[in-house]
Amino acid sequence: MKCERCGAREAEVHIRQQKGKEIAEFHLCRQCAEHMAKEGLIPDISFELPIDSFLWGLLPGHGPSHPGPDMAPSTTGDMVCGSCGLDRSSLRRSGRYGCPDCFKAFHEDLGPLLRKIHGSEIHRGARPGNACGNDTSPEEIESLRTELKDAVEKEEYERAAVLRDRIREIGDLHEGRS
Amino acid sequence: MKAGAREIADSPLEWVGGKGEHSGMILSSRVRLARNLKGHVFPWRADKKELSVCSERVRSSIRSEDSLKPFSIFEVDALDPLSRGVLIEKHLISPALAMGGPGRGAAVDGRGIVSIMINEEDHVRIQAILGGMSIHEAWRIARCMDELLEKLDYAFDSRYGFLTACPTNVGTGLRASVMIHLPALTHLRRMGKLAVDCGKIGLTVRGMFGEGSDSPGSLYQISNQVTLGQTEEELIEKVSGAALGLVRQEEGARDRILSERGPGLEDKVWRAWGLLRFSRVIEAREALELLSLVRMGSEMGILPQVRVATLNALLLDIQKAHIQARSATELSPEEIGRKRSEVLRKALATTGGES
Ligand SMILES: [Zn+2]
Ligand SMILES: [Zn+2]
Repeated sequence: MKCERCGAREAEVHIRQQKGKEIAEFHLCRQCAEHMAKEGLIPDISFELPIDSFLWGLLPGHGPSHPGPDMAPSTTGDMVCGSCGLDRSSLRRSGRYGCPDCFKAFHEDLGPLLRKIHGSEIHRGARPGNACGNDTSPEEIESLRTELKDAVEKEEYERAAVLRDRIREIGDLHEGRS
Repeated sequence: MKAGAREIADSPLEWVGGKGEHSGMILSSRVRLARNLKGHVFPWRADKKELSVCSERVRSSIRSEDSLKPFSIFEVDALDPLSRGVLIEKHLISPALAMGGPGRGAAVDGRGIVSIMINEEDHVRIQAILGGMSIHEAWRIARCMDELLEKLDYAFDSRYGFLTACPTNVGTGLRASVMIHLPALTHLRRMGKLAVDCGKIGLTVRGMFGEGSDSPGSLYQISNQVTLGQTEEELIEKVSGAALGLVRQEEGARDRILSERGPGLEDKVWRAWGLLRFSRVIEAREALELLSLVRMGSEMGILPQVRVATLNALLLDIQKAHIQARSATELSPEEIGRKRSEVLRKALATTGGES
C-alpha cells in the first residue's frame, strides 16, 4: 500500500482515529506521518510504529506489485468471517484480523502469510494453563504460590519471577513422573 | 489513577534508576506480550458495548487478583491530554491508546515496571520495563503477570499460538526490545550497516527519537521482528545477544574516535557539557544531542562522572509534556525551551562539577 499523502513511499504507519461517530483512517509513510504529527493533524507517533499491513501486499497473487494468475478479486472477495463479519478485502486493506475466529475463516491465506512474516507457522512458545502446575497438588506449590502473590503484592517482582520459575520447575517434575 | 499530570510525571519508573548490567549504554530492557480474550472481536472491530465488556473483564480480573492490588487502573478518557502526554513520554501507554475511546484504559504498578494496556490493538498488552540489560528478568516479570491474568481465557490456537489482531504479533505475542545508546557508532556512520545486519537475523533497529538509522541522541531500539516459530527464550536470547554485541562494537568505536581525534572529541564533549550547564533556552533535539555527548564523555572519563540515573531522568524531564506538567501555568514553546534549560542546569549543576 502506498502512502496516502505522497503516494510515493510505502505506507508503514496506519492510524485509526475516532471522532464522534466518524472513524478516520490514515495510511502513511514514516516521513509523512512525522510531518503530519508536527502539524498536529495526527498524534505524535515517534514510538512503536507498527510495521504491518504492507505485508499483505507481499502475498503471491494478492498484491498490486505481484499480480499472480489467481488474482481475480471477484472469486476471492466474498469470503467472510462468520463470527465478526470481516471480509477478505477489508482484511487485506487493514492488515488486521477482526476476531479469533478469523484465523479459521481465512486459514487459506494464513499459512503463506505467516511464513512470509515469521518464516514459520507453528507456535513453539508458552501455552496458557501449563504455568503453575495445574493439578500438581502438593502444599509446597500452594505455599510457593501464596508467596508469589505476596511478592507481587509487595511489588517485589524480582523475587516473584524467581518464585514463578520454582513453581514451574516443580510442575515440570510432576509432569515427568506421571 | 485519579492523579493529575504532575503526579504522573513525578511517579517513579524503575529503569530510570540505572540498575542492571551495562546501564551506561543500555538504558532499558522491555518485554511486551499481546493477548486477546476468547469469544470477543478485537478492539478495532468492536463497538462501544463490546469494548466496555472486554474492558470490564480485564479490569475485574486485575482487581480480583489480590497480588495486583498496588496497581492503579484508569480509563484513558478520564485523563486530560497533558496526563496522556506524560504517560506516553514514560512509555506506560502507547500513542494509539492515548487517543482514548470507550473501554480504553491501562493498569500501572507503583514502581513503574509493569503496565497493562486494555483495548489497545489487542485486548491486553502486558509490558515490563527494567533498567540496563535485564531482558530475561523483564520477560519473567511479564510472564508472571500473564499467568496471573490467564484465567481471562485467552484466544489461543495450538498451532498458531496466541491470536492477535495483527498477524505480525501472532504466536508468542512477544516483543522484546532494548533501548541502547550508540553515539560513537552513529558518529562513524556505522548504524545503517548494523541495522541491515540486524535485519538479516530477524531484528529491527529503530531510532528512539525521529526516524531511520540516524536518530537524534543516538538512541536506538533493538527488537525482535518475528513472534512465531521460536520460543520466548530464543527470541529474548537473540535480542540480548545483539544488544551485547552492539555494546562491544560501541566500545571499539569509542576507542577508535578517541585515538583518531582525541583533542577534537574532548573539545566537543566539553562544549556539550558547557551548553547544557549554562544555556538559557534549548530545544529538545539539541538537548538530546548534547546529553548524548555528555553521557558518552562521562563514561569515557573525559568529563566528571554524571550518574546514569541523572542522565536517564533527564531524557524524560526535558520532554514537552513533563515540563508542562510541572508548571503551574500554560507554557508557550519559548517558555518550554527556557524551562528545559533550567531543568538541565539544575540537574547537572549538582553532579560532578569541576574536574
Ligand atoms: Zn508519504
Ligand atoms: Zn472474525
